[in-house]
Amino acid sequence: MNVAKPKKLAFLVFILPLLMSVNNVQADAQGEGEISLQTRLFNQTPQYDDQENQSRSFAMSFNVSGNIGTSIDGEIETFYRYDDADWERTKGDFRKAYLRWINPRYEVLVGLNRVFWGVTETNHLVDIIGQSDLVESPDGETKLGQPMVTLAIPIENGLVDFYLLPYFREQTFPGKEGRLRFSLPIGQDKPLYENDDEEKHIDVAARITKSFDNADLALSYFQGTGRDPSYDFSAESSVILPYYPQIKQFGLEAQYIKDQWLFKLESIYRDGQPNLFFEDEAYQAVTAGFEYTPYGLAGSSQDLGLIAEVLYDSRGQAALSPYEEDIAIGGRWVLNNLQSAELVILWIQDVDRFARVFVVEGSIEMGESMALSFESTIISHQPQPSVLRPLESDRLLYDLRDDDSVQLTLSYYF
Amino acid sequence: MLSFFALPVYSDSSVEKGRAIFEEMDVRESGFGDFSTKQTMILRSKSGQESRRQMENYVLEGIGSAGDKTLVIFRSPKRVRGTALLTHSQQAKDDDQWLYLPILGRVKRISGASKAGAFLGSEFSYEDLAPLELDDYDYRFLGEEKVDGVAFYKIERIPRNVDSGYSRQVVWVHQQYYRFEKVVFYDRKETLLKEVVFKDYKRYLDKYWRPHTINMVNKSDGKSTDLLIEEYKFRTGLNEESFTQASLRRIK
Repeated sequence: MNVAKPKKLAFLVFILPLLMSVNNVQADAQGEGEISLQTRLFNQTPQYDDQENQSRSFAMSFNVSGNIGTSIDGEIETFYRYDDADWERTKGDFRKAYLRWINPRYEVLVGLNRVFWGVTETNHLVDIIGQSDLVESPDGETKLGQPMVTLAIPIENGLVDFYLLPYFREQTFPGKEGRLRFSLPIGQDKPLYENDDEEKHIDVAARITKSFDNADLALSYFQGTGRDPSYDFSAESSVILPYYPQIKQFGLEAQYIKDQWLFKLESIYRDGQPNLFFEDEAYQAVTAGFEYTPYGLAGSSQDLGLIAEVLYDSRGQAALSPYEEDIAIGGRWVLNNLQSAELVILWIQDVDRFARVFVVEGSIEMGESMALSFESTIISHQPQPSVLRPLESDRLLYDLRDDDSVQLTLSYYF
Repeated sequence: MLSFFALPVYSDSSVEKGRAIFEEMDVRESGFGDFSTKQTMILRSKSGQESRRQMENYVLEGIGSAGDKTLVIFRSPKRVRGTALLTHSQQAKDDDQWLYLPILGRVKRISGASKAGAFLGSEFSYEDLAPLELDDYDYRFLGEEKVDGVAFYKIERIPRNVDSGYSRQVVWVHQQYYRFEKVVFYDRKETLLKEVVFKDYKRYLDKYWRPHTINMVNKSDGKSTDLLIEEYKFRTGLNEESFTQASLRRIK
């Protein structure tokens, strides 16, 4: 299912202009978009047949937003990518299509939207409302449009949000020809669900955020279909079927500011998610660290920000994330020049295994409407899982050991 | 009119007089309520290369001891359009600041101690663009100066915050209208760093003077930034709710 709920979308797409044509109400709309060309290069020989070393793709997105008077606004954002190497990466999506009623005491939003929860940089534990568009960006920071009804109530220096999520969207995965996949391809057409309502199970969530003098706090709760799939690797099959369980998750986000230091903490407690060995195991996970931004590098106008985070998952070897006991350090170098050039380097090192991941990202502006960016991921030191040395390998990263990549993207904005 | 005089040492009277002039500016500024503008920044390198940044600026006056609240929404370069910076300025301490990243839908708290950092690669630093809070500085009256027949007060002000990029600034204030004419900035090593000139003033609501061109020149590396400001719109109905983290999610 690549495009969500066509019937309801059509309703939203057509009702917005209709509402705007109502007389006596001042309505405005604006449109913008982006077209990009991208190439991804994998410098190592692929491990599996059919995989390719290079992919070329183009993507476009359009965004139309508007308001009717001062109390209703809405937004529609579409996205399409064509990829010449992986058909699972060729797809379209409505990332946003919502109407929102705004009132000083509350806000109600109905439709597709994206929501981000969280404070840390290297992974996003607490973030759970939307499904990750993993083929679009392997770091999980791109989301599919999530159908929702939300109620937001401002409180003093904070906000309370309630979410009703009537429809679940499966995670996207690279196809058989795509890189960055498991040794067996994922059977995306036949996901397994714990609940008989499958993707129509109604999920609920709530979050309260509050700012204090030097601190921000957020508490959240989610109950429903887990966004992260579990996998039954022991099942005899030529594909791996993703399994979406019913989960309960409590989340905590905290930040504290002291001068140029920003301390961050994210933690979750989740119940109902089968672990890597497909056994039920409630678990806690924590990401905590700091960001340090001393402005003006060596007396120049360039800035260097440093981050360090520790990542922990109580399931250890049985975690579904490769970051079960890892340390991440990185830096962001902002040149503050006319081209807004910047470079980000991140190194995530497993504490008791050899596994490590390097990420390098950079970008420059080319005038007001164009930008060039590159992203490189190196997944190194992934020893083969072995009975004799079980601690030395990371099962989840091992399958990706030959998938180091460089990605170049040229974008035009209008 | 007082005649020009310079004082070699910090006397109580020069401190009082310096602060009194800024207090008068503060009084004349009070009551504006809120305003918004559209601005274009033109960044120039030493060799004359140019780059433009466009933004919208919204300001809400703080009542009583509360600081002003400002919201800057970036419109170009288009890659960062919709990115917004929300600042709740605080008297004599670090401001509270949040950055909204529209592509992720994320509101990110940032360190208000970043005063000395360059704003979007321009010659303006964050503190140059922050609302004026009286208690952010200590003052010293230096004297009076006439330029092209116009009389100015010349005042030195010393940032109280250790995170400031400046050891001191010298400010030229228009004697009749109590508005900024020129500021010269000295860095922590006491070298002349930058000079900013305010031009094309217009009076709004018969009371509030606002510049429409601000030229900042970096004296150490020859780079410069022009800030061109369109018509100011006063009292457009902005309120506290327009400057919350929740309001950031409504930015288009």
